[in-house]
Amino acid sequence: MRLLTATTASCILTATMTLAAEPREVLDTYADIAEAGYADSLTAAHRLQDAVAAFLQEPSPEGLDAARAAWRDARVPYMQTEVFRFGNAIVDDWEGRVNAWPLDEGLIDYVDPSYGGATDANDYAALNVVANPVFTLSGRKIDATEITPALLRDVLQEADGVEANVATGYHAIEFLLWGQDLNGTAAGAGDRPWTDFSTGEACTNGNCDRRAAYLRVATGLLIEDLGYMASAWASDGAARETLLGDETKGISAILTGMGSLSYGELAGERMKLGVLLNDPEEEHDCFSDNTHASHYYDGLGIRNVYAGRYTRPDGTVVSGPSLSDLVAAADPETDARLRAELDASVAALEAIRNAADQGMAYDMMLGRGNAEGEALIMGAVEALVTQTRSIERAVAALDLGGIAVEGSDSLDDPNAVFQ
Amino acid sequence: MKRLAIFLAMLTAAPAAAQVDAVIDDHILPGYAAFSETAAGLRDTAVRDCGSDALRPAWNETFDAWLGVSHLTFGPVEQDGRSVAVAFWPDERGATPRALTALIGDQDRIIDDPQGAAELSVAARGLHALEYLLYDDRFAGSGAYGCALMRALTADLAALAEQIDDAWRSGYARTLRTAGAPDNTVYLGEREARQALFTALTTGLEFTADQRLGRPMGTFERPRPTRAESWRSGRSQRNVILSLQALSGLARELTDAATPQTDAAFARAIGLAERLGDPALAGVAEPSGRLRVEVVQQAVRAARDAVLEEIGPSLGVSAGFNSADGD
Repeated sequence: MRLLTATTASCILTATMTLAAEPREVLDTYADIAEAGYADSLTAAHRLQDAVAAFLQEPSPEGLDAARAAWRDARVPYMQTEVFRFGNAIVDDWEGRVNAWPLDEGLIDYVDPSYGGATDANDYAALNVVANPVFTLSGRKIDATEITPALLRDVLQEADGVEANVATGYHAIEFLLWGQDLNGTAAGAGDRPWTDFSTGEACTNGNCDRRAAYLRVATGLLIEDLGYMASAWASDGAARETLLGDETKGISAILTGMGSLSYGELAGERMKLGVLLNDPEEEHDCFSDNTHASHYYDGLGIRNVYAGRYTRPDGTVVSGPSLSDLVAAADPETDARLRAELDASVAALEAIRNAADQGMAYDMMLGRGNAEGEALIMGAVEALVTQTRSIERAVAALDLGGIAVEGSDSLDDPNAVFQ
Repeated sequence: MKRLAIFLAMLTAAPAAAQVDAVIDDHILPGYAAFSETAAGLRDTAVRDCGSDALRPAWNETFDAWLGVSHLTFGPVEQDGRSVAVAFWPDERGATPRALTALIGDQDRIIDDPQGAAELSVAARGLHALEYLLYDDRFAGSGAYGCALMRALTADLAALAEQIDDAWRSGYARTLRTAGAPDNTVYLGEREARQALFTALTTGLEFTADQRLGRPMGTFERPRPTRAESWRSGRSQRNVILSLQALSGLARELTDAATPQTDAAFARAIGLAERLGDPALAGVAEPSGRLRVEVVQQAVRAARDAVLEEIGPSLGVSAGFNSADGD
């Protein structure tokens, strides 16, 4: 039964090589989209860095607004690359540096008294490195007089082995630009005064020079990290090479990324849990109230890699033979279903984005008793869960054997098992 | 060896529909019935006496029953976030004590409404919120409000359990049985029913290895005993044993083929878990204790490998996506 399926599938794969897409071409398209997406993210991060530099040079309300706008723009290409994270180990291992979430922001800077101090899970939830140039961390005395890339990346990031200690990446920068959103599930985002970055007497909330240094260093690190990933997907880059090294595993990686982001990460961790907890901190971009946009571009990214088509911020298009072509050749029904379901999830996420643009921010949708908001979010959750089932069907249609099963010591060599 | 496995798979692939029926009749339906029954008992106990001494045994029985089905993450339990409302864990950021403190601090009267508890954050509902109320000193003296909260939360849990049980009996069991029928829009082929059950099996093993055992283990330098599941009530080890027994039961029903490697791997994992002698898994704080927990974790992972290599091929399926994919 299984042998028969395998034979049929490989016949189809062979037949399609001359008729439709070849797996190798599909992988090329996928890698091209990744390369373009990370390059666009890098370009947008450079614009953010320029805006931050101009603001810090001469702090003003307009300067802070410009930096915030540049941060929002930077999220557009980046979120569309999240689909590359699952399935490509090189991306997953790196991702925490740029997009770790959720965070205990008191690690970085001052917070409202309602935030509380250290928690059961995190002794350093309220460390406040901006205000404390010297402190003890996991029994080690740390000199943070100078805020350096090494301090953020090697000392503070995941300090004490706690993932919520996020010192680098988009969300650390977001916190510095917006501050805490103290409006709960009512209207309004974080409202950090621009004078938090003023020099001399005009400085509010203390330590403006250290806060500015932190923002500058974190933005620089973001550029460094995005540059690394953009080159990893360029020709001869490690991510592209790994992907192209094994066609079956490569195609599997695309589908794994689509399914894991759709289901466990976006529908589950980021959306459904927030509704169930009624907790405004359970929104992905909780300081800026930009969550509606981030979720939308996340969903769009899933469709991009299936359709083999990515529209860059400048309007140009990267496209080529797609996974959709490959699935259509093996099982046209599954392909048609999945394409329709991907359109439906993008539409559901767009409905959330539209509602937010019209005044119902994502955190308001999470409020206890906001039935309309809950319906919007749960509609997108359902659409994402539905498409996950068809992604599994695509795995079956291509006979990829599902998740890769590593050789098992316990079965191959019982004596090797850790006793 | 590999050829033999494929050959066996060919022999056993056909009657798998009977296995789906067996899993439903002998594993899923009795499991949810037991959970519903014990949760109703807990609710009734709370009506009579909301003190910890009276409630702890009934709460433990309910938790025991939940472990018989906690790995079934699809169907009615997935709707409306019921599984998370029953068991919100792990609680990465301390949301449960925070939500309970706020409720009690505000003396929030929402719980007086019979449907009120269902409106609460899931962090304040279900087995784990009740554990805080029953075992954590912070909540011991919550007075009349604490008593009302206990009654509201146990009634809510009983309602959830009843809804799940009803939904399986009145419709979802049929949906799963009729996988591939023309009017079945959930399971488009008979294979998809087998895959859902197989995914529940592998995901359940991963959850016990990575979360129930892995979270308290932390790292060698920094073990985390207070990240163990229900350490306050000292039933972390028991949870591991009962979940493994339930998963072993599912594995047995799921295939008619001989599964010697799976059987041996489960027997070893369960035996090691039973002999651990560390109810709250607090032993992870010491290197030797952590090592003993790690040995159990390895044995559970070995059981997962056996299942993937032995049961998966016999069903002609591989594991699908699960909610733990992602972080």
